[in-house]
Amino acid sequence: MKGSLISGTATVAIVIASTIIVVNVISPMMEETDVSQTIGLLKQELTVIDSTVKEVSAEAPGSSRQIVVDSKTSDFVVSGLEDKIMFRLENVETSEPGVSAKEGDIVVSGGGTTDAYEKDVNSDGVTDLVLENDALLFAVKKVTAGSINMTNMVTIIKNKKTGTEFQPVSRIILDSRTNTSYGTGFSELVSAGDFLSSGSIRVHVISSGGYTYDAVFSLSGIADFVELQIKNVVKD
Amino acid sequence: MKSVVFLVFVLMVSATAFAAETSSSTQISKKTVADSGGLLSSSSNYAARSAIGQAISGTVTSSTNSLCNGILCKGPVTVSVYSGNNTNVEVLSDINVSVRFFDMDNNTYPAGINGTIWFEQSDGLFAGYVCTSDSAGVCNVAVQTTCDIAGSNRRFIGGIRNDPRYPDVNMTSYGYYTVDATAGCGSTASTVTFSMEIDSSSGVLDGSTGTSSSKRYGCISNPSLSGNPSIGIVSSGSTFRQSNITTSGDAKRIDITEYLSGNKFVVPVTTSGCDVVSTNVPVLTSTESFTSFVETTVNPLQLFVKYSDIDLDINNNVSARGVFTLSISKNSQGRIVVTKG
Repeated sequence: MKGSLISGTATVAIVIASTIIVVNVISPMMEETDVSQTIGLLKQELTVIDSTVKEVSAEAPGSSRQIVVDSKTSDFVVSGLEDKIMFRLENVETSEPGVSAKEGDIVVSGGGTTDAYEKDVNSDGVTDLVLENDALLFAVKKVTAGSINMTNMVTIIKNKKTGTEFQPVSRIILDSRTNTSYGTGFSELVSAGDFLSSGSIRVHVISSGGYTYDAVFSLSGIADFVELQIKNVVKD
Repeated sequence: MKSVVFLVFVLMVSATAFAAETSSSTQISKKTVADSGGLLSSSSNYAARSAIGQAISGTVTSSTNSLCNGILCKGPVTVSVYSGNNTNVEVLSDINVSVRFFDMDNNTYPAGINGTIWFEQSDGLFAGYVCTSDSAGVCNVAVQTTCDIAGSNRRFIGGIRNDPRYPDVNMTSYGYYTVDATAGCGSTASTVTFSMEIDSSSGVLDGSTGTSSSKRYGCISNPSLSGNPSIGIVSSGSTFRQSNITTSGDAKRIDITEYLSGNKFVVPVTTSGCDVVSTNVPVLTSTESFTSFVETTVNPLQLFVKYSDIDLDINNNVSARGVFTLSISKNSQGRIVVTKG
């Protein structure tokens, strides 16, 4: 049957390390058995590229290598902005957006991931808690323990597609009491790391308005929006 | 006998004058219930509350021979509710009530008349707030409500009180107000508002300013920029309450309020303006699996390496397909440059 076309969508389970990623083959040009084989070949290609980059990086400026890359069934992409080298199979999509698995230094991901990390993104000398995916970057001021005012907690929201940065004055107001927007507390990354299916920042506020609460900002790998939920509200 | 009558008259005039001075010095336009300046409570005001409970007749004729500053009072006067009857407010917000005085004798709405509006705090217990009528004869008070007075169909009544020219007279029937007991009087909050303010001279608001109980979002776009970036807030929780869009100079502010239970706010950071936001609001609020405002065609499988300790040149962008030679080099700044050969 080799060479026959697949009509419609076929589902394939790919085992990568200990993780199973279920993908949908959405192209009639690719057979089910080809998917696993293609991924295996691309992993080999990427391993060679990665090794070469590391070799050159360890050498003096001016060092150079040339290698031949076979990327007939996928797009090869280099993003200097993200320090990322990638193969992308447009004809294969994951059944569940945002899933990922890591094998060595190679990440296999479906539909995008979120990085959650700490960095002073607005160069104001204060560390920020950052959630970032392909669409946007969202940063909240890091407060270990001390004063919190929601008006300056969201430091930057960046639309990466257009390069536009927003620096909003934000407020969280409970029961119309404006003094619930500030007080004391802390902020933290719920889980730090790269290639997450989603990332979250928790801002714990003991407000001057008599309420204690958590503001949880979340960003999933494929979303072009940030979610906010107010949780654990307790009246003093 | 004449001297006794004269002494009584002098005492009455003095007492009336003193009362008028006291009223004038304590005039306020707004007081909280806890503020004793306007609150009539405790046994010293028992008589006043009794009078309120009787709902004094709205019309007093001069034939009663009431004296005001030692002379016959003006009038007769009627008092009616001008605004605020059947008002329903949240706890901690203001309740505004106005009553209006009408001088039937002169056929005028007298200005500068001392009045008091009494609000029922609990069953049968009233607190009074003083006011002075304006040029339209309207006497207004704004009272900040508290959990202590929360309840439905609380009564209020207003009238002229301690005025040097008119007799004390109240409305002939009660008005009513309700303070929402669910709003912040329990062990947790009732509502939550998420607000964002963007200062942008070229930003464009989607729709008009104002408060709405049906528009679940606010959005600001910038058509003058490439890609028409937009940002906003969408209510995606289970119980939307209201949106409020305001501007001040170049600043544009979006306030979205939901009930606390099941709250969720979405901050879209998209391209293609606010249309993609507004058109997706029904989708966003009706499905759990909403993934993006600007549709991505697929969730393509990616295999990648991402470096944290190696810098690729920031301008290094390659997109290629097929079989090709890749050149990997290290530039003078120590950054890696990958090019298709």
